[in-house]
Amino acid sequence: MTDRETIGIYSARAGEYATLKPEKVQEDALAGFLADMPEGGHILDLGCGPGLHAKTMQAAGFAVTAFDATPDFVDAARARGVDARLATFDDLSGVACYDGIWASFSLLHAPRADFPRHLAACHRALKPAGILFLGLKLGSGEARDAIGRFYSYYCEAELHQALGIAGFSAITATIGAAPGLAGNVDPFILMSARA
Amino acid sequence: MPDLFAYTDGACSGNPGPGGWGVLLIAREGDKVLKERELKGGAADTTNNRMELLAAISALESLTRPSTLTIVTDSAYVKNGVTTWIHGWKRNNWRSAAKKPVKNVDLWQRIDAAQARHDVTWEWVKGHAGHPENERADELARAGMAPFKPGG
Repeated sequence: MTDRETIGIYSARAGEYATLKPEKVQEDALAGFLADMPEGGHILDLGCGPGLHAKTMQAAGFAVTAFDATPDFVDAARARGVDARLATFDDLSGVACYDGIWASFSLLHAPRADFPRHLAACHRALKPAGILFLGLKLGSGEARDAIGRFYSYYCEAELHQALGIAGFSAITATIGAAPGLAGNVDPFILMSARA
Repeated sequence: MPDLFAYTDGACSGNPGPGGWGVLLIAREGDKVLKERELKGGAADTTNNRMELLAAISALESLTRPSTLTIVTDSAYVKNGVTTWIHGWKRNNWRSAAKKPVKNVDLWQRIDAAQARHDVTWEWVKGHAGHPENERADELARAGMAPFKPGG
């Protein structure tokens, strides 16, 4: 299920969002993710936003496919030269296509009930031993933030369990806190896991 | 100007094995604590030295602005590496005095890049010797490791 309200908020603020400086912690995580990718490998940027990370991946010599459910973001990413497609998490139907999937603070906009299904689709879409990167917010339940975006929250133990059930084994986790678009400082988790 | 301190620690169960790292960041003015922040993480298959390095790297990388800070570690490997050995390694194109590739070169290069933005003083303290901040960093490292331990 796709949250239309969240997409509406991103559409309305797409210009502002695209001018946000990329967060250093995510940039550092991206460098680590790319270091584990085979040379010239194929990466899916799942929930690519305005395409900043996808552009970095391309510049590093990787083949990038990018999905986003917000039309304005897809346009912004394409304007950067990224092969971006208007697609929801449910459109991820490929089998053994990608060396890596970069899902950076995107799957948190899907309902908790759909999370296992999306993780399973990621596992199917990855080549054997492919790597999934997840950036999520820590907490419990579901809520809308101060500007109305829908969020699912997870605790670390839950994530290890959900990844395990989907067939992944966790490689690393990093837990910290950083301010987001809504201005509040939320605890976050970055995880990498092998299919 | 408040003084910034980062207390860092690593942990590993088996060496190699599952591991974790922890950072306690404290901004102090005199004896008064103005601000505290905690970071932690874990890895499925790592070593104690890699976790000690990653703790220090994470502390440095978490600072968005160039800062003056003191990093307090109980790892002689990190302290000696970053203050002494690294200069020789860089001169020798990341090879040791014995002309062998430097171990954990990926992390040494990362710490080298991360500290270049800051003005860092490196301090060593004895681990498990009753320094409350070092004990806290140790707790965080163990908490970061816990989900990666079998049955954890």
